[in-house]
Amino acid sequence: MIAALKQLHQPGLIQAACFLRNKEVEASTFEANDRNYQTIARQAFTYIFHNASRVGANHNESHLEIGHMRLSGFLMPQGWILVCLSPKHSNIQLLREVVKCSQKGLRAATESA
Amino acid sequence: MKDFKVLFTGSVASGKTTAIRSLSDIDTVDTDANVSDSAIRRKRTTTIAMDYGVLELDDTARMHLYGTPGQERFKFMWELMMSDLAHDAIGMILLVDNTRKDPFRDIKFYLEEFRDFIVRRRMIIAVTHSDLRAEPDLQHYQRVLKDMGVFTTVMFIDARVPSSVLGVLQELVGTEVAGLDWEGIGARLDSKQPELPQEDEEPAALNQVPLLQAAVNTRGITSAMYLDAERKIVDSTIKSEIKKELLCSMANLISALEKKAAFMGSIDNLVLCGEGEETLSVFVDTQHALGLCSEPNLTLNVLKQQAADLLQWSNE
Repeated sequence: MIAALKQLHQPGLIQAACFLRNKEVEASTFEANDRNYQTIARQAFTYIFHNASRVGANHNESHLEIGHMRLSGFLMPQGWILVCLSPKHSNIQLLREVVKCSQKGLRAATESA
Repeated sequence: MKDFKVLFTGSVASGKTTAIRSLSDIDTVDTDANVSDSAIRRKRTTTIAMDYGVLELDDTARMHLYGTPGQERFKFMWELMMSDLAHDAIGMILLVDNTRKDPFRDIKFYLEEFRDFIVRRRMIIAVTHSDLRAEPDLQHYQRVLKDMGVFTTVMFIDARVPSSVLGVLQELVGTEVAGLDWEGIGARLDSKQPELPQEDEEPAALNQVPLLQAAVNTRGITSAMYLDAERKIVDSTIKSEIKKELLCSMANLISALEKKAAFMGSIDNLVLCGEGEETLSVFVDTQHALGLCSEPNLTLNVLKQQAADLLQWSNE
């Protein structure tokens, strides 16, 4: 799983990523300095996707800008959530493209977990 | 004949078109179109490509005046102007609208966007609309800019008055274009000018259009809710209970994070999107927040700028 997450890393775009499931961090490339962001992401995206699912909405992507950073959450099959940490002013479309292009590897990683 | 160029930039409705019209000896070339975004709170038309005018300095020199569009979605024009049309400009004038809630946020934004351009030439900050809102004053600007590490001239101007804008131009290029009769140029331009106010870009008063009405009249935004500093709903045009509930949960989440994670910096926005679903977003500042439902094809960058502009002009 870590290898799949590391493949997402791109200078200036994605500096850390993690997989969440059942409110827990299952794998992460967040450095110790960035763990506060990971904690925020875990609480925020678990809560927000749970609420979306509860009312029957199909929203599966969320972005939270806090301080100088942006946390992006992507809801995946089987309740997995992919989280990416990026600089706030980085290109959000490019971030989406990177995640989209990596879907196969990311799904394989979660299915094998 | 010597030709010089100057570039005007700044947020939407900061007075770029007006300033260039004030200075130009020719009928300016402008590319105005009806407003279809958050700028509707301030004006009916907006520049979508560029403004261009020419100021005759004397028999041997003239100044070409280029103005960028304000909205970030026309950023491709900023890049075209920096790299081509105005790549050889001798300076840049950053117009700052003093009625914006946080003019320093605009300054930071434009300095960052035009960083490579201004690193090689002089830049002056010209503050407009101080007749509508006097604060922050000059001393405040100087103090905050010093704290930001920005050391440049700040001038308060009336973009409708040619001699007022000319003063900025003189400060910017006076040493490059020596021996000019600046007073004479100012008197000539002022004498050509009709009585004030004459520009459609100049707002007659602030907040003519309420925030929620402005939001829902903005291209791509379908409904909106206005929240106070406690993130409680004050007013809403959102009919769908599901969307209202989701936006409320997003506002509650932001409120909780603001209390628990204040040490990590302020929260600017929270966005929720999905294929075929309307995008739901909450944009916050210290005094209030705006919840928006928008069409899924509205890009997040445009959505962010629209929301920032709506909140920047808000007194509600």
